[in-house]
Amino acid sequence: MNELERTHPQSNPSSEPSAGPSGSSGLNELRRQAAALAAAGDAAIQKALSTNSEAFLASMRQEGGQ
Amino acid sequence: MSQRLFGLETEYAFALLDRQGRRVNQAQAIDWLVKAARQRLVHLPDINSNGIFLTNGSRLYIDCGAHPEYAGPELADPWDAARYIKAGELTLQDIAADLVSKHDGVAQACFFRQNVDYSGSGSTWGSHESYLHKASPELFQRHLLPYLATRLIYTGAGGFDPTYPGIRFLLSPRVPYLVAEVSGESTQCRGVLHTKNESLSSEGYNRLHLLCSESLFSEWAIFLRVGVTAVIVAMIEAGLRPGDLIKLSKPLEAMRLFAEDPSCRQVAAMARGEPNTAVTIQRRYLEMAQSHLGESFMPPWAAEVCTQWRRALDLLESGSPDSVASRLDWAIRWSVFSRFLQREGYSWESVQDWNRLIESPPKKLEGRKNPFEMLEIDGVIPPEAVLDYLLEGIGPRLREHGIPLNEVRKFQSLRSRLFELDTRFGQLGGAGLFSQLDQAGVLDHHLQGVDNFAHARDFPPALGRAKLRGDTVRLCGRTNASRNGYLCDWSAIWDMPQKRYLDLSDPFAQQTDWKTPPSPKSEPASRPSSIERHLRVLEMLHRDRRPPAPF
Repeated sequence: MNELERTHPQSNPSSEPSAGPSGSSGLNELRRQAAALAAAGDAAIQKALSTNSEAFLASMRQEGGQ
Repeated sequence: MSQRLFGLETEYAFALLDRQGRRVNQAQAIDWLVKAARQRLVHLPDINSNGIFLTNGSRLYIDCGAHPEYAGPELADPWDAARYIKAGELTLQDIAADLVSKHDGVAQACFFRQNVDYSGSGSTWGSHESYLHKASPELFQRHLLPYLATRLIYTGAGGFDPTYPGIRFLLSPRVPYLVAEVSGESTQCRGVLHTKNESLSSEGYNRLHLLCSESLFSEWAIFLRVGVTAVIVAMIEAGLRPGDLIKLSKPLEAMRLFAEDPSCRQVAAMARGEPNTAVTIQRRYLEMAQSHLGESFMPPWAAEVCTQWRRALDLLESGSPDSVASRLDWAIRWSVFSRFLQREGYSWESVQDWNRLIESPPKKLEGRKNPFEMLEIDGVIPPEAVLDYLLEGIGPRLREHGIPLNEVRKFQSLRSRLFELDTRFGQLGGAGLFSQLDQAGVLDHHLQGVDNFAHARDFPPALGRAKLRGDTVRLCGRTNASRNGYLCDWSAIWDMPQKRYLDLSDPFAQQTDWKTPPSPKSEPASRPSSIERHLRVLEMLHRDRRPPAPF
């Protein structure tokens, strides 16, 4: 099997995150995206946050580093 | 068009937890990690450390502070920067699974891609970049520093300042730990511009090594961080002098101002003329790059980098942070934390009010960095009494503003929970906040072509010495027997039994070239300079002795 490193040819310019819509429909879409991010954030926080943050931070203590 | 090479090193926070949620002794945890890595991964041992080199050309080892470091292979395009960071993540997640399955006492193996500690240790660890170049290193202070002081508007990971007694969000949480504009140190007195120039290559090549930034998750942000920096290094190498047009009056102070402003409207004093925003300064560099696109010194992907760069600046200028809330690491964090504050009954404005209240501790605490934590660490006052001690100073102000005393405890709790959320954001695997948001499909950071991560985990890039290194590791590193007698380095692979070495001193090497090392008795001038570093190995080869095994 000939594995490709990646599927993107350097000549393809369409590699950016979405441009984002403009105008009133654009604003509605931005609001929808913001609402979706907020809802997902709520769910993620609910899942991730412990009942004792100070204990968590102490248990993950890191020393030193560059 | 000119090829460029660069690389990324990622230091991870690491902890093993037992079934009761207690931390396994770190020395023990590191020992298990190293053994698990060696058992799972096809590798050759690192001649210089306790680490190993992998089949994709990267190195995995334990850096100072007991941080596992994944130093990716030499890369030739910025899309691969994001791919090989993800490759490192996949490798560590495989090892994490092994640690849990092989040790009864281990319930969780946690890796975090972040760069500051929130437990009060004052620690920070790195996300380093290396750029191969032939410019005079002295040029970077003048011509690169303004760029480094401002790029955090899209390269910042976002996070909090644990050295501050209140809650201070920063676009770049490493900034408080950068205490000099220029420095050769990496663990104390860190500088925005690091002057270390350990080439790891043949003569004529230099290596710009940067440690002023943080690890990122956004593919777009990673692409910009590496691609834009590589383009600017290419410009400086070619003789362009962007710093002649752009000079900050106080770069370090400017960086701190920019780091505290999610709107990206903050201005900083210039050496000449009106104060400028970070976006404006970045546009000056972009304009210079765009005016030289197509010239021979530019890498083949420079046009695409400029397109993305301009896009990022346009978005930041048009409505930061909302305009980039789903795309850049710091803005994603800002959005999530803002939502959390709102749910808890706070806003960034009310947080600022609290900050002002506790910024002026009682006279007895003057000079202490963080009243909440320093007193507990010192053991001077029991934790439960710290708040009362603080209230000696701020109590009157609380009464003046009609604020109940228990609100102070709530704010302290809020601070701790935000710190935990920030830590969780960088956690690898499904538990991490970024990972959850990405899985939910609410982020917009992906780049077409940043994919096939499994391939990047196992195979090196196609261009340069990383391919030779990775292929040789794959060939020779499968078993203890096959790797016996081999030692690996960035610039060579040593075959002790056959008394030869694979010369990787040319970063762009494409042909496997096994050589017989010169005799230690030969004149120094006749030895390749890249081999001088391993004179000890040469001597041992000729005396038919084995070098000490890495631990």
